[in-house]
Amino acid sequence: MIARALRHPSFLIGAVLSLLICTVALASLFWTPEDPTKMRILMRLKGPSAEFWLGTDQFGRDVASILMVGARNALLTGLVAVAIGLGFGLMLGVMAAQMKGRWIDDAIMRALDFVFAFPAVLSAILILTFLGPGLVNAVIAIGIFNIPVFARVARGATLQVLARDFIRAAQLARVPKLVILRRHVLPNIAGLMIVQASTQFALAILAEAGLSYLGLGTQPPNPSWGRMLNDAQTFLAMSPRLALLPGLAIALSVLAFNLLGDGLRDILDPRLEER
Amino acid sequence: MKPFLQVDNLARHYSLPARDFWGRRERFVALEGASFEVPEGQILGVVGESGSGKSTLARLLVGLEPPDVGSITLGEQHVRAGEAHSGPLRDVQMVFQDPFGSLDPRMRILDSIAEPLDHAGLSLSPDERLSRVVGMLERVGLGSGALRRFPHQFSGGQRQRIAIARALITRPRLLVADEPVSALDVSIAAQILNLLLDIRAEFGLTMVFISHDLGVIRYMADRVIVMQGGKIVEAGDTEVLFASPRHAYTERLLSAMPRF
Ligand SMILES: Nc1ncnc2c1ncn2[C@@H]1O[C@H](COP(=O)(O)OP(=O)(O)OP(=O)(O)O)[C@@H](O)[C@H]1O
Ligand SMILES: [Mg+2]
Repeated sequence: MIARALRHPSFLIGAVLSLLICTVALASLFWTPEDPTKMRILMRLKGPSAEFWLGTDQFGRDVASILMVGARNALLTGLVAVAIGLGFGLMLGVMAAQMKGRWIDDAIMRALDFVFAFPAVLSAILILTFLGPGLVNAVIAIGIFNIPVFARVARGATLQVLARDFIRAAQLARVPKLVILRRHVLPNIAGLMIVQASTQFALAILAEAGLSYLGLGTQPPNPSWGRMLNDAQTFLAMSPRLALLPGLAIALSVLAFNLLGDGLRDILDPRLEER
Repeated sequence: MKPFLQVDNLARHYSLPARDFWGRRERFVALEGASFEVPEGQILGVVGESGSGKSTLARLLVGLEPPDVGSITLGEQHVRAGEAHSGPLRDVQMVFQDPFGSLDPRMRILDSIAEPLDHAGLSLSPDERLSRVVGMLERVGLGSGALRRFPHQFSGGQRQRIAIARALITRPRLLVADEPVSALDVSIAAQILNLLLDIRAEFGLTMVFISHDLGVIRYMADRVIVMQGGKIVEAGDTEVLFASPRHAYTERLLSAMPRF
């Protein structure tokens, strides 16, 4: 399995990039080159130097430090949003599949369709105008819109697994329903769920950046890549670097977690193991 | 002699998703009025074209689905339509048609074969469990090297042997085999058929053997029932039925059979 992982290029690239981003985010808990909130009026909009590796922003704050803390917020957003979506979505989707043909399946899926029918970002904006802006509320809103996505994937995959004869065989072996779920259904849908999780993780990072860009997500002075983009607009002509860097960070994270998911799907599949 | 398996007037309907003008679901009769008996240790062949209700009969016999009408008596167990469905029957196992679908791709062979043992309420020690699985693996012609592997590492014939080992590990008294060789090459199929015959003799198994292949049925079965459109249209001892079919459908089936 490890040997297979090492020969899988997109997994390798994705893993290395994700690990790098995670390391940076973790490191920011203990150390950043400078205090990311400290303003220096005299050092506004400076280019990269030995002191400020990636230069300073319009308030003279260290861009490298802001990016590092921004990574932390982005990852946290992805993690919590995916946890909410995966936790509830998996449960609801598997339950709906188990109850297929009964009213409860219809009820679950119609309710989820209802959530899904709203454009996600628009509805997140709506929710945030009620709950008030802020990182926590943004993460919850993004997480809620992840639930139907995970539920649909889980339901479809579970139905496919339940239709196969090894489930009949397990029933004949008198394996209890919940044990069938745990030992046969979950392992067989795990690959799909992991791929979906990494996609949603990437999308959550993007969504958080979008909401923060609109001023509804992470609030100042807590750094966020999305807000950096917003702030950079005014100075786009003077210093495009300020928009480019957070943009790059967002793109890189999205790419990293998508590659990681694709790779994991292949590696987790025992059928691809050499004979 | 009292039959080991007795089936009376068995029927199964499925409701189709389509609704008629009054909003009622349409019913499809997959099996109707099926009655037959199988003495202990005998093989009953079930033959019929696709959609004739063979697999439906199999699912009812093993207790995966409840009958809508009729009853099944198996040894001391009774299943009657209308009574609460109690799930799979005791002492009954099944071998499925598709050996690529009947083994969980993510489960090691050891655990797949041991699954019926694990839930038989025996509380075996790990050593005992292992040695029973190894014993059964060897009986079906595979070595203990298979234990730690996954299904995809085996050919169709080998997988069907593994599926047979799983079916027999709890020493059932009735084995229902639903087209167990129709997904296999002829020479591999012959090996599997002989394995089933050997095991029948050794374990004193009673068997319901389903196939759409008359040659295979003739080779395996002591008695045969012929199914068409969910009904049993003819029944008889294998040699008698093959020598002088009485029903027009059986005759048609026989005349379509390649002769060697
Ligand atoms: N769950 C179900 N819901 C609706 N119809 C069903 C269901 N299961 C079986 N049927 C229908 O019942 C009929 C008999 O099916 P069955 O699988 O028993 O046939 P079969 O003789 O085993 O055919 P084959 O040789 O193709 O396996 C078929 O027409 C099938 O479409
Ligand atoms: Mg069938």
